[in-house]
Amino acid sequence: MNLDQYAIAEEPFYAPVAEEVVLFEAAYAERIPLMLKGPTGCGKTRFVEHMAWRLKRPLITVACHEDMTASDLVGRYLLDADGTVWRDGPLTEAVRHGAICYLDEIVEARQDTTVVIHPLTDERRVLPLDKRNELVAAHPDFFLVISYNPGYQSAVKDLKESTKQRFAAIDFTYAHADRETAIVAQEAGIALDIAEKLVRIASASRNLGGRGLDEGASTRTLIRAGKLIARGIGIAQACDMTIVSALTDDRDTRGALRSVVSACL
Amino acid sequence: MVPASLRLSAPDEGAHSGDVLARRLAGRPELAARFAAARLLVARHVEVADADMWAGSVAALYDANAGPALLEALWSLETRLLPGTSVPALLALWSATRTLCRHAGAAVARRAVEAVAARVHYGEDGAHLAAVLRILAGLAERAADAVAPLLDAFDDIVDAVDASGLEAWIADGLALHPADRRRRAAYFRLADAAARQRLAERAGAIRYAPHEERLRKVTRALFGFEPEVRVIADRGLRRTRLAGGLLLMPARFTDLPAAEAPTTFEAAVLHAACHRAFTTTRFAVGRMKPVQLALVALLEDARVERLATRRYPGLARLWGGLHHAPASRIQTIPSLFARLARGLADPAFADGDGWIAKARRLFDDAFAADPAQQSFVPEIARVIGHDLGQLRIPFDAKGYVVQPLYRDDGLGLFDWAETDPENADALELMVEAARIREEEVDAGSSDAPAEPGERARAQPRAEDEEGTLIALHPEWHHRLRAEQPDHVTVRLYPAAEGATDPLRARLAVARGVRARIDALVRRARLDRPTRLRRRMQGDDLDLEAAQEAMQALRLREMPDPRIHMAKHRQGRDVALMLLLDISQSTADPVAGEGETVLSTAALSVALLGEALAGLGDPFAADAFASNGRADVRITPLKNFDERWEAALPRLAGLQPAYSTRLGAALRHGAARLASRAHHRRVLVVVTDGEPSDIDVEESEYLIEDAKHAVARARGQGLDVFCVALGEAADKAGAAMFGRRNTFGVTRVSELPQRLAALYYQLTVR
Repeated sequence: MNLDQYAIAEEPFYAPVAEEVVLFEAAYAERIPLMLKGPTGCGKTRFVEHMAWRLKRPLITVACHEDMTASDLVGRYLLDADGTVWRDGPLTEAVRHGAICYLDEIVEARQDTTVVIHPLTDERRVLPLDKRNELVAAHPDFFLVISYNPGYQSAVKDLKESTKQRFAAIDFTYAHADRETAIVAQEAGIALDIAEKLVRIASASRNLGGRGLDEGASTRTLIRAGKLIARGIGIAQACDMTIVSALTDDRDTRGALRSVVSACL
Repeated sequence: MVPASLRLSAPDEGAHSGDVLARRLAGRPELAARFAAARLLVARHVEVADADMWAGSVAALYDANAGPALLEALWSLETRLLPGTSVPALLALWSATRTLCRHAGAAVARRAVEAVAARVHYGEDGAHLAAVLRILAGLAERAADAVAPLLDAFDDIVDAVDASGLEAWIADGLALHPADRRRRAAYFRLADAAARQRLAERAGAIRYAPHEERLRKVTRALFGFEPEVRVIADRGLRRTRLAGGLLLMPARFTDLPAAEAPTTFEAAVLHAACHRAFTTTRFAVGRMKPVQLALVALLEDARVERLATRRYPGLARLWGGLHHAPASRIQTIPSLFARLARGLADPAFADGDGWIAKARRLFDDAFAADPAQQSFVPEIARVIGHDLGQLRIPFDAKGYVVQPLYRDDGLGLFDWAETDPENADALELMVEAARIREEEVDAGSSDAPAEPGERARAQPRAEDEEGTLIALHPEWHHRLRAEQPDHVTVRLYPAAEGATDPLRARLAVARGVRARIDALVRRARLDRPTRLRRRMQGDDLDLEAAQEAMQALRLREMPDPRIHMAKHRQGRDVALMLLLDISQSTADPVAGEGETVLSTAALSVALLGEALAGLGDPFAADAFASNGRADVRITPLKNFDERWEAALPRLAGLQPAYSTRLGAALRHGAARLASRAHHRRVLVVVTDGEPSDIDVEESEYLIEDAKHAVARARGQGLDVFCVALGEAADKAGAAMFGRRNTFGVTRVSELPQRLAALYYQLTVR
């Protein structure tokens, strides 16, 4: 099996916020599974890509969803003309061949599904494939990273305590205003002063987190707005499209966000 | 009204009512002449048939004992209306006047007509006035004595509200004072703070309320805090005013066009937020003259706005757009100040005046040096105020109104405690500053008790007053091993309504908890789909099953044909009945919070109620206590069909007292819940310990009775749970409700989070 398709050829842009690169490298050296916590669009996925590139490991990303079964992760028998054929799932591939496996938004998956990663995340480092009657020992380079947005936290959707305790966690927040400005300017290809305004709008909108908005505008949102602006769309219009209309349907909150946008320009 | 056929002068078949009335008036030549003139005028404007109906109306009013003065008043009103009015409006005017006349007397009716007439423009369509008169007539029917006081304040009232607002305001007054004539008169005369407050709330077009939520959010987003705005109905308040942390908003801006209202309110609220953010200390009045005070306020306004626009440049556009003073050479204070304000806000504004130029230069230099240095403001004010004196430009402190409209009147920026006692002019202003604050505290919100009568209502009822008997319940005797029929008497004690402000404030503080509960609600509402595997039919292939079927085929075995899967969403159908223990022991303080067990429980119920409203689950709550078996006291907090807000004043008014006869309360709650038709019916008891009552010595007795009541309720198909508050309470609860159905909340301060989370745990999966 060739994991070349999962290799990351070019350096993904990532501006470190704090010590996270060092922490990730240390955890990787010890193969301690990592949990990345933080609000949506603050750069968790980008960070993993960046680290995979840095560590020169292929990265297999699985976006978790409600309907995901254990077979979707570990693999299943499929039929072809000659009979049944076992096909490894993404997790099994990463385990066999030594990739970084990134389970994005793990809480979205059902709790019974996530239990399959338990034997991989303690000293055993094995993946039992019960259907195949096989015990796959993890490749020395295999590394497991999950991401999880604590904003969603609820009694209904939360990680099991037994799952949580298998991971070391790195907390992510939005970058500091100056840093975020640089990121937005770089990623969207817009001037710094415009990026600064966008960041100001975002930080104002984050004040409304939990009070009308679930979360404020994320860095990703700002980059989207910036890209539209770079294409010649007006700033107010771009913000309306990517921030105001996208974030809320509530009339008062929209009105408030529009006022915020116009106050920042 | 007398039927037409019985009247002495019954009109002949086909005869015109006008002629009939003219004949009847023959004995009163003056009135007859006036009628003839009015009739002629009406005939000129309307059809013959309509004129006849009009004459009929006149006759009816005449029959209602209207004196000539009233008729005369109406006729003269008509003269001014006729060119533009319509027949129905005209007739409505007459019939409303007749009702007024019959119930409140001719004199009052005449005053009403004259008051209305004073507001008529020549040739106006009288529909609006007819509506106002009709409303007055409606009031006369219900409370004739209230019309005269209302007419005393008629202009103020009609200035403030339109017809529908007037109607609503009158209805408020009648509801507030159904019996007390004296206080009702005070209300309608606007001599009552509550009356003015209500009038402000009912005030028509340009109101702050529709903008409140949006502006709350804008301020939070931009400044990180929420504005506290209170609308004040006071004609003396022409601009907003800062009062401590509050922003007092006039109920009505006389000079605010409706189209500008959204921006003006936004500008006003954000301007006040700037003061809160950047005006760090209030200015000492000392010996400053009113003109200097006004200048300090003006310069400080400009300073805080400039500080804000450094971060939010767009705000300069918002505020700048509301400065309308044009450049000119006029040297009066209003004009100079308005232009200075504009000049400070807009660097591009060109005004040739030397005084303004100097003030701008001084301000710009000082601001450039250190914008956060608040003390440069009074210094500049002193200098340029002195210049004004040299120029001999008079300042009229009483007539001065801050421009532009959105800015606060500045009185809140000063520390009046440090006024020099010889500074008489400033002292006058201080009185004004203090006046509305006091009234404001007095009238406060509509929930706060404003008048002695209301205060009495807000207090707990007299101890000896007996509640209405609503049910008799049996009780279990554990030694006899039998139920004693009709052993306890359940009585209903309506909730004493308390002021909701503290509770609302605590709800506001608990926003973090609310956000979490909110997230729970949304997830619960979405009722996650469940997957049904291995079906004979379904939307999808069940891959695993299909695999096995194929393998079976290859092995030449009989395959299992159930290879489909389907998704199924199960709707929620849950009703909740909550019983809240308010016995004396809930008065215990909660460690370190300054709250009691009961107040924390009340907050929890409010939070849960709000969450359940979002979820759409029917929910009712009762509070219970007991004073012996003859007096089990039930206080309804919320019925199934009420909005959850209705429970707030009742929750706020709860007072801990008496004991806990749990079994009786459970039976009562179960009876209420059992009659509801729902898939799941959940009964939750929030209590802080073992049951007890004054007429029971054996603790076993009530515990066993409660156990029995729980078993009964389960037998009725209810899910019964106990939330046990406090250290050892869960053990006591477990003894009655079973361990699985008891949730101990050891730290009572955590109850708000726990209660809602628990409900979802119970009902979502």
